[in-house]
Amino acid sequence: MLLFSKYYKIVAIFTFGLLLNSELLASQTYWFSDTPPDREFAKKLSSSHDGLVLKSRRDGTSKLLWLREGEDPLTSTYVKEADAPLILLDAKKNLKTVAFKNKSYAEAIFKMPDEGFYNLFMIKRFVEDNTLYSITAKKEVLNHSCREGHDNIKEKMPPNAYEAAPVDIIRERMPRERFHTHVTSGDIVSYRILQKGKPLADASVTLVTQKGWKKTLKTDENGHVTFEMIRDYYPEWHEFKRRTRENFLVIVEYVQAQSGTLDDMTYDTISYKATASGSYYPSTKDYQSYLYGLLIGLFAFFATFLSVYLYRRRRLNVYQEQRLD
Amino acid sequence: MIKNIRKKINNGDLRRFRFWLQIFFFLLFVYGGYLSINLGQNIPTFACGFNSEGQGATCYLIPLQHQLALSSSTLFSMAGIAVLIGFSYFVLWFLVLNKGWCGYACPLGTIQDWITSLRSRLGIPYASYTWEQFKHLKKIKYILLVLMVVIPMGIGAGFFSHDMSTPFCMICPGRTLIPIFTGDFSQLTIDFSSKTKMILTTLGMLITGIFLAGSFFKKRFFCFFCPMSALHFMLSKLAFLKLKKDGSKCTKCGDCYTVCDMQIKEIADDVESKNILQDDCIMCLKCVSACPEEGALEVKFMGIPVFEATVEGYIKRMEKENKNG
Amino acid sequence: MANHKDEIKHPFNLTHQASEATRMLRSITDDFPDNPEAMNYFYDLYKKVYCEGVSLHENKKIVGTMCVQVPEELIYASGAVPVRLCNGFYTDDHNGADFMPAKSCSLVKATLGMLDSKSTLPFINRLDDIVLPATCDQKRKAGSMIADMGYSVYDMEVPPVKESEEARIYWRRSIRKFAGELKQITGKKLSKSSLKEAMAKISRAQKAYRKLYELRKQKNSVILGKDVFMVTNAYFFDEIESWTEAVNRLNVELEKRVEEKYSAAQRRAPRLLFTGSPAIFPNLKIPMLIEESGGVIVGDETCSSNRMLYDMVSSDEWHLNAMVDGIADNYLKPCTCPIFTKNDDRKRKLLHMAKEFAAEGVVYQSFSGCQVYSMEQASITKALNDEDIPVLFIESDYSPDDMGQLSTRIEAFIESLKAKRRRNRK
Ligand code: SF4
Ligand code: SF4
Ligand code: SF4
Ligand code: SF4
Repeated sequence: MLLFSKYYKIVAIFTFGLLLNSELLASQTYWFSDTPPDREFAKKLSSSHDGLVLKSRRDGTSKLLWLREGEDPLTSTYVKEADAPLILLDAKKNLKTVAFKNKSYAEAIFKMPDEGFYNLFMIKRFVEDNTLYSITAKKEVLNHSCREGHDNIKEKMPPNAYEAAPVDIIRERMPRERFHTHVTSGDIVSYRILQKGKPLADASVTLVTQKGWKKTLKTDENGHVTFEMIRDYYPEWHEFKRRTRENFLVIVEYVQAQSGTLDDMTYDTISYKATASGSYYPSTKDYQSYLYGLLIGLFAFFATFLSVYLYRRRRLNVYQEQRLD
Repeated sequence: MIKNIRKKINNGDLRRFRFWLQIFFFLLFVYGGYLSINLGQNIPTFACGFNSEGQGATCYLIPLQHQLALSSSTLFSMAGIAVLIGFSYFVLWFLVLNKGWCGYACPLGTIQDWITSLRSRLGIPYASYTWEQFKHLKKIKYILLVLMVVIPMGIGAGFFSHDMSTPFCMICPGRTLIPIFTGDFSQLTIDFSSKTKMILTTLGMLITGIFLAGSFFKKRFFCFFCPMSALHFMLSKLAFLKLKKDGSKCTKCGDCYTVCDMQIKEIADDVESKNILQDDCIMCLKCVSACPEEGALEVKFMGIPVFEATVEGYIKRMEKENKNG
Repeated sequence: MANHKDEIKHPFNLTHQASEATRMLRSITDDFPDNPEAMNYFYDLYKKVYCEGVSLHENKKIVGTMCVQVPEELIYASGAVPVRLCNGFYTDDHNGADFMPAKSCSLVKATLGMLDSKSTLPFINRLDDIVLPATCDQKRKAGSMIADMGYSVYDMEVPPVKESEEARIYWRRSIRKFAGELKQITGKKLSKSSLKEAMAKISRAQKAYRKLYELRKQKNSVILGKDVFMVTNAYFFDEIESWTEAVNRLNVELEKRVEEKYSAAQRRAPRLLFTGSPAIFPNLKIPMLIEESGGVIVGDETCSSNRMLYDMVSSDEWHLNAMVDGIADNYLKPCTCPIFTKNDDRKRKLLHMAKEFAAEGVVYQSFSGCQVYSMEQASITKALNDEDIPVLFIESDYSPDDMGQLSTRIEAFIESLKAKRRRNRK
């Protein structure tokens, strides 16, 4: 596996004319996942409304993200070492830099002191074969605990954009979305793709679900693209788990003819690639039934009604002599 | 001046006042969210939190059940303080209106009153329990209260699955019915995702059906069983609003008992107690308005009389009643 | 319909009863100065009915009632008129002695005598039914005797204990049964609107009564007790709407008296409550003696007056079941009749009234032969004495023989109250 860190050093040291196996890097897809690489570690984490978090007495709630490589959420591998710059847009819209910690895997950790959405960006640019590769990986994380109450949620709901990002993938909120809302299969999810804060038209956007289902669309002039999350979870009834959380990836690719230099290397094309990962759950439709609900409710209603009626009838018979009406 | 105001109030038409105040609170709690009203999540009445769109405040039973389900280590850390603060807010809110929350503010209580007036308009007589039935049925609310505390604690301790969370809400008709008022029918389903969920949602729908039919025949059908009412009663001695009786002035005429939705016998028969509030009482104050004895029943706020039974007021109200159909 | 008396008929105005009534009426009107103008309606009414024998309630079915527990709302709602048969005539008492042992209650004997009399009040002759609540032993036993005279009698069951829930159920059932009986008699089924109307009618009358009741709380007594007894006693038989109007007129006049600071009694007259066996025209002997001796009766706790008119009925919803049950409770629960096992309610009522009316003493009448009132006497007296309210217990009957002795006792009592007041002032 090739790593940014090495590349970066190599690029920095041998500024010129070194043959690098850069196709591999540029053609790979990198994304953030909050699923820990080893199961043992997962036990130290606690679950929250948006995936696992690390809770400690000293630091409060922190989020851990791992860089993964691959287009298929299920089979992507964990990157072992990375040191690309990381930018955190926190719930209060402040920008901070964060660094990868390369323990056994490249992991990013940041504290989430406030309630709301945190966005982590990895932004990497390099030139190769006269092409500027601009690579962005983004993960939006919600920090919310019911204990803090549910006040002022509405203000905190809208997504925050990072204007300086070469490409920012913004998941627009679903109607009636709240902190407790999950994306579920069957939902319509829509994205707005921004380039330096401006809508990016005609970019190709691919949605990849956990099981590898893919769909590619082009953004419209406003940078919008809309997908329907398909259902790809079909267990046996008794094995069905409502809380099955699956990942999906959104990959944006866009090539632009533009020349310039980066670190004294000239290019005439820019190739953008950006990812944002999210998670989704089975749709309530897969396991909730209005029909049964209605039937049971009506049954109870009429049964009660009938029993009161019969009771009154019976009582009238017994108390016949004192019947009033 | 004050004397005149008092007289106005004592002569007032409680029925109308209550009707409009109930509508006001209904709008506030069920639709207030649309006006960005948020009175917090510690409200001592069924301002149902499942009505995610419109809620102008949240029923305390949701946070209570959530908090009790926290693991004991969390509960005894800083989070415990937040829980206590939440409870204090609940108590403070409660102290203001005492059980008047039930008679005037509870959306579920109001729904029952509307169903009652529908029945009355249809000319169908109401049902009442015999004294024997009454004595047994009134215990149910304490059983529910205990379960509502024990089950979440069991979840926290790992005895029960998280599918059991907020167990009372699952069977509360507030959950199924109140969101309907904002067009959200999603609580009317049976959840087949696990056996626990299936059983709870089925119970929920059964109870909803029974609730609708039951409250058609029995005034305030559900309030006999409401654990919130049991919780209220434990604190009611401390409340600012008080229902007082002066037994020396009472003739035991039984008018108050006749109009009482909750079949509270003590209100007429008990001439010893000064504080006449019973655990089933919803503080609708209908008894005060139906009492023809000067000062036999009285409502006080922090010792200041606010509404009192008077002959004049009684006669005024009677004449009005006699005039309307 | 009792038609056994069709044979001979004296006109009523020639009977002993009529002359007894005339005598009493004269002393009520003439022995006192400044009777309220509006009282003339009542004096005339008594004159018409008891002296001239004018019939009332023509073309209406009449249901006689023997006690205060009969819900009149139901009777009005079935299109009939209730007439209370409790009687106060000494002449009838005398005649009634044939039916009962000599030491029985004058009221029961007088009622029996009246019903048996060949030439009784015209509307009594037309009774369609007599409702007899099973209250005290004497009334209970009177039922079959009245039936033997040829009247149709309906025994209405009354629970002996009124506090229990069983009593409530039993009584409610008894009332429903009574409603069924009324349907038999009048052929008219109870309906929501007729019952509501009847309730409104009675509650208007009660409202007028309550107003009068309030007026008696004035420091200056604006009306004498004997007149109020005349008013409430008229409710026994009068047409209810004209009765209500007359009381309202009286209230207006009394209000004027309040404004003028007029006092119907002497300014220092000790204020008294009257309780026990009912004072019924023309047996107003004791109230008259009290007020002639310089006291004033400001309130009463008797079944001919306050107990009959005071408690008003509410209903939450205007459905037959709710209304009838509400009415039932209202006729049983607040009833302070001594036939029930406990008398706490009666004590409470008297103590509260004493406070409300600033009463200085209580006169407790018990008819000789009335066991229940005599038996309650000691405990009531004690309860009142504990609150520093003196009680004068009088055992008496309808005969005028004890007048002299009574008047001495009453005068002494009133004097002692005055003395007590002087002591307290110092
Ligand atoms: S379901 Fe019932 S208990 Fe739960 S929040 Fe709603 S109203 Fe309150
Ligand atoms: S007792 Fe009735 S009114 Fe009170 S909270 Fe419960 S449901 Fe609402
Ligand atoms: S209505 Fe008033 S007087 Fe009658 S029983 Fe009730 S409290 Fe007593
Ligand atoms: S006792 Fe009075 S306030 Fe309480 S529920 Fe009954 S009528 Fe309402």
